[in-house]
Amino acid sequence: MITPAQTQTLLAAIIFVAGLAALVWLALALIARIAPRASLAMACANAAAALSLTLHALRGVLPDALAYWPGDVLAIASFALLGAAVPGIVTRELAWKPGAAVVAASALLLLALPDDGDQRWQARVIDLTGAGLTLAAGLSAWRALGNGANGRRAPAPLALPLFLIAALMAARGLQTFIHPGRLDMRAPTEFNLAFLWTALVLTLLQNATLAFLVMMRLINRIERLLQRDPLTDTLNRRAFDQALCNAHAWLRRGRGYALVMIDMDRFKQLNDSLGHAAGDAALRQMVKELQPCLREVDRFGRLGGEEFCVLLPDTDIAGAALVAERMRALVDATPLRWLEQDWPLSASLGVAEAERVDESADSVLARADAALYRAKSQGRNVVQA
Amino acid sequence: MEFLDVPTVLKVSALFNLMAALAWLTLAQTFRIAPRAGRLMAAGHFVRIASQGCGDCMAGWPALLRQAIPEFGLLACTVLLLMALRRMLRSRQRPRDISWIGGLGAIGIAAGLSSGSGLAPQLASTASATLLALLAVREVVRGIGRELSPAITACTTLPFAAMAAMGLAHAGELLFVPGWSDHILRGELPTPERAVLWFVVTAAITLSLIALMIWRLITRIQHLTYRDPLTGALNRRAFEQALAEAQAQLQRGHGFALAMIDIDHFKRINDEHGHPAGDAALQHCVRIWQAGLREVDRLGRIGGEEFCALLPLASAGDLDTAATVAERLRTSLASQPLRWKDVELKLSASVGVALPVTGDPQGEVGLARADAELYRAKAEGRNRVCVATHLGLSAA
Repeated sequence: MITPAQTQTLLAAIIFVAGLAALVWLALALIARIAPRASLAMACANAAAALSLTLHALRGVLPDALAYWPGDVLAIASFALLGAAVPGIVTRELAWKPGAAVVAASALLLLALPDDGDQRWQARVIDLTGAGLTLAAGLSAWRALGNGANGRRAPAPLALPLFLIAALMAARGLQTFIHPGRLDMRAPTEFNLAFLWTALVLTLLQNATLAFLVMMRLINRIERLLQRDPLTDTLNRRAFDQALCNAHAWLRRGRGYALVMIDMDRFKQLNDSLGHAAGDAALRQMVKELQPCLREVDRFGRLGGEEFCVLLPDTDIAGAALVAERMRALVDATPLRWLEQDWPLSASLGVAEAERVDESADSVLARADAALYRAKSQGRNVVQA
Repeated sequence: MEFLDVPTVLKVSALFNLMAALAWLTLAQTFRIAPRAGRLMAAGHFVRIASQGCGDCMAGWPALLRQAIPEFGLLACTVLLLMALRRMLRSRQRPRDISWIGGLGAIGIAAGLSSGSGLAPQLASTASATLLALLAVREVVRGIGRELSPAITACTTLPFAAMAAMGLAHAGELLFVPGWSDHILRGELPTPERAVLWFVVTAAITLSLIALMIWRLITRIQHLTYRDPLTGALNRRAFEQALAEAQAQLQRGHGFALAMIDIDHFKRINDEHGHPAGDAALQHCVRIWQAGLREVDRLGRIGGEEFCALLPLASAGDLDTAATVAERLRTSLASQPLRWKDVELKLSASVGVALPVTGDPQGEVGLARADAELYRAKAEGRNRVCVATHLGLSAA
């Protein structure tokens, strides 16, 4: 025997969970400043859902003008906001215009529809628009997650709750065709009970999934900070050593690699005459110029000070020398522009190839370093193998 | 709240606990965030599901079991909660107090059950859970009170305080309302208000633990952004920022001094004992210096083996105090050699101390003066402090 108290309790639970989630997302956006715009959109989506369900639960108590049309529009708005927030967390852009257009259009449609006693067309519009909006959001989130826009560890199944919500809303829409006349969510029917339980689970699941995505962003940031040199965004010494170690392990299995050691010429002079800020700018400029020379598999690391190293997998010494020569020419071509003044930049490069006799990567690094030293002693701005 | 259906509230609460437990397990297993705290929390949620009852599902069970499960469950999940909280806050405190309260509570419940009283087991579990909740409040205030604003600390503490208050109120009911303790014995459902209140407090506690975890992640990120990964001293950018702020304060009369520190013969350590020894030496130095500095002082790694300490002064121009601090840093390093693979490496540093000048927003003049003094210290034979005597009050 299903009592109205059961459906009312579930409705209250969903309102509570959505309201709580709204507060949490608001705190994330305003206090912790994590993904602020997407978090704010999530807070609004949850708040709109909670408010709309509250209005629905109070139908009959509140005046109809307040309980019906505003509540329906809020329901659609919450789906639209959810649809904007989920891809927003992944891609960091909030595409809110299509959602807003849908909300405005359906708000007008809801006003225009005739009231035939039980609001069945209104209910169908809400359910099917909600299903459509979440389905679209699910598809775009799936695509974005699959593309790895959020780093490599973003599995596409995290978009799953959106598809489930879309299915749930579509089921509710279909139900209004099969059993017209049972539109009130508070009515004690089997369908309503199942619908509300599923809705509660999905509300929790959706919010948890998004919270995981946000966590993943934080963790990616930590990993990046651990691996990157903050000034130039190249790999730091530790991460580069790791990459070098991996490459050396492949050497035994027949995949060679080459190293290009890069050292900016007369860096100390630059620092002393123009100041540290100019030195930093010069390093950044050099790294930016060299990035296009690198393939996806190459690793660019800062060994310390003005010394950098590039790891080129599957490359022999001739190929590496070619890359190094192009790098030298690139650095030489553009001077540093500092306070209306040009300062000529150049770099010396040393190239070495890993050989099977090399015990560890350190000996390859030492050879590249020796080549760099020869380049320096030959008057700088040259490549030596 | 008569419009609510109590069994449904209990089921919703069980569902919430289940989801929370799964979330903690996922965080622990997949992301390796707070793994031990997460597992403890998950265990706590599972115990809560098992012990909160689900309406009439325990109806046919023997009375003793019906009475024992909620009481032991409440005690166990509060113990687990407090242990998780300690892990989350990285508290070093031994869990002795938890085991005392938990153990005494369990003995109390068991004794009460064996005496056949309806009141004693409930009183024992409520009293120990309340004590544990109060410990949790103290723990949170100690853990984050110093670093977060009072409002946020209060919000995070509130759920635990609410739990303690509910425990106190319940104990009061048990003692002063006659016949209340028979409530559970008869297998009655809680009132809707009570069920909802418990659900809300459970949810709030979960949220506050999640907030603590996020806070931990954020402090980690900040630490990584502002600190030199090797030594934990401020990195150059963060130090420059601190220096710029101090220069702004200087305009308002809050003086400070700069002590430029350079480890002597650092290259020799690197060359003779390898880079790992050099890294260990840097860490050793920073550990010693940090111990000799006050909380308001800032130690930054400017590059390589060069560090700089920013020392706020009580009165502007008080170069003597700064010189004393610098001298203390020098002697403490010289007196504590580094043990590296059974070799004692004697370390020393040269220090140059100077005052900043006003009208120099980036503090470059002060740094240059301290640097010049450092060079003088190096030239005069290292392991000494040189102090700038010339006092210019505005930028050249």
